[in-house]
Amino acid sequence: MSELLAFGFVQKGLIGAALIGSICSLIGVFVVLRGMSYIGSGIAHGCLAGVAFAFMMNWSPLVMSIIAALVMVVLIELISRKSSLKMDTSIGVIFSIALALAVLFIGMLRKYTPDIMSYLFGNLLRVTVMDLWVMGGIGILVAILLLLFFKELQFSTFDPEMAELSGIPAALISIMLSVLMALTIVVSLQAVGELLVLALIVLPASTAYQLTHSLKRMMLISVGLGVFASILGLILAFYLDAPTGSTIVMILGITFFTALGLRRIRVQSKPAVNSLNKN
Amino acid sequence: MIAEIQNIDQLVSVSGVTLGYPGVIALSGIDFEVHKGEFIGIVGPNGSGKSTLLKGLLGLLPLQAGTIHFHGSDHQQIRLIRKRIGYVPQKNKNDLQFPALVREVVLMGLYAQIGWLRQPQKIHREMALESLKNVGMAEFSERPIGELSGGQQQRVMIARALVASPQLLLLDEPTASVDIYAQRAILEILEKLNRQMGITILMVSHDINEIVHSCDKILLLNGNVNIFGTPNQVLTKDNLKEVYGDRIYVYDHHGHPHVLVGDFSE
Repeated sequence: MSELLAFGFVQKGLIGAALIGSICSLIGVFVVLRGMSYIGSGIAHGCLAGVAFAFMMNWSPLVMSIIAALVMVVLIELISRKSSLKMDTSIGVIFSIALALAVLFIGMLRKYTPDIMSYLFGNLLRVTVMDLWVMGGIGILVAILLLLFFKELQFSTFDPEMAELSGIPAALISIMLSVLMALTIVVSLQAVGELLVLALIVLPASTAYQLTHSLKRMMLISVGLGVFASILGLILAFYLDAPTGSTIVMILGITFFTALGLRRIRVQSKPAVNSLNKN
Repeated sequence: MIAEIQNIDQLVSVSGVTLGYPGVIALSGIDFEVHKGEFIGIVGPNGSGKSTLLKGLLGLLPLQAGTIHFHGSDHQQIRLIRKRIGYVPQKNKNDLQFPALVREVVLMGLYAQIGWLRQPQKIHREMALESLKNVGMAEFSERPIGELSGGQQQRVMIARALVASPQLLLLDEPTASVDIYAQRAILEILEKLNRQMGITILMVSHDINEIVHSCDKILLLNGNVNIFGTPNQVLTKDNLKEVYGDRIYVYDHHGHPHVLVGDFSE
């Protein structure tokens, strides 16, 4: 282990793993509870179009993927609010176009660009000091906003209609969450890749959901699992010479199915309640 | 425009109201008044506009015609008025497997009052517990909302609507899809809130017989038909036939009208 930590790129990878693991799993709690996974998937594909365009124009992939992600959020919200289409249809329309644009831009690149592949599959061991600063900044922003607006997020997630009626701007809270999710996906792309970033958002939160009935505890468990799986996954990937993203997701997959099994055992072992006392 | 208050006890005045959705008029020419401390039932067949009327009162639907005044204030000031109205929506619209304890769900009713960037204090937690006591659910305060029965969950939603001490409580079919024991328990709680605590109640129900004993007045609705008065005034055979059709029969049950549907000989 000590020889592992002697490598600078491993140290940066471990810090990156902890940061990405915590941001993704924190925002993931609300993504899971609000059923926003499909939006996340759409945004991730949209980012790829931004990255490909950046490579084509020789611009910054980070800036272009942020712009692409935010454009995706705005377009999805606009189409679902201004048309009679359901949210999942508007996501499907926008993310298909974004994916087509990504393929088009990649095709227009006249030379082979290995960096594009790192955005598809990710590699935590290639994160730079600059990447860590960006991850840290976005992580602090996400954590502060989720904590500051915790009660508004809680109410508008549980019962959006009543939250809006009582004076909480549920639509605005929803847009804020979409923007934070977009930023989270953007900063995670290079580390875990476009194909696996959604797993890091959804799996720790879904696992935590099986283990608690408290939203605050769900957030804590989710973050703990996200950080644990990311660091363990990175170490295992190093020793097994395996891709980091998939190793992390496999660990999260195992914890998810374990939690699912535990919940089933707990529900089945509960004594039956007399229905006459349940009015 | 501030309406002239005809009666100091008048809480809501609805006059010539038309409500609907784009291209569809659901209700027209609705007139009724609610006085402080009254328990009013809104009944009518499916699609008669009962829930639409509640949405209109809450300002979720714009008025196409007519006026609504709440305690003298014009309905245009709906954002202010809404704070004085407690609302219990139809059951199962929200995710009841959400990770929240019963007391946390009730506390949500105070979030707008607590304000942005502020956390609930001890006094708010005490208010939530008091509200749970009023619906007989205090002992369940630490239980996850998802572990309660349908009737218990509905009582928690009533506690959430009550926690901010509203002047008017609106309920949209609170006893729908719960068993008869739970229906009775919910109605007994609403009667207690109305009779003992003086809370004014406006409740939509699909079941006339269920609420006829609890209500001071009934609003019988169906599109442009609206008949308002005491249960004995409203629930006559002629009125019910106009709203529900011919196969309706009304008989007197200990001084209250009881409604049956079917083919009965006179």
